Amino acid sequence: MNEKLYKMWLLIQPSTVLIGLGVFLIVLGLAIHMILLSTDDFNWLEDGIPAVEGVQAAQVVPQQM
Amino acid sequence: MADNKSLTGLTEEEAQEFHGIFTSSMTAFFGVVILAHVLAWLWRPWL
Repeated sequence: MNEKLYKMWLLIQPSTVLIGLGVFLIVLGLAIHMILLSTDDFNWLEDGIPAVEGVQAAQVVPQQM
Repeated sequence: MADNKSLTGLTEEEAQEFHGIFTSSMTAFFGVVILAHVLAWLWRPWL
């Protein structure tokens, strides 16, 4: 990387870059999550796979007739 | 020269200091991003 690259902050506002970058990354992250949740292959909430912890198979109790 | 205010009002030293923090933060963020992609790939490869 160019050793003089820091001089870019003499030309463009650091505050503007930070806010813009923050907004962009948050929107990008939300968009990716929403796109994945809208697919059948990558939806992790409604894929029918229960979480490993805290989920126990329903106990089978013989019924008395 | 060093005390002259620039277009953004930063001095050379301030620009250099900000650049150091910005660069290290960006590197750390990319590390998290790469880790997230590795974990996502292990979960369900998409290609």
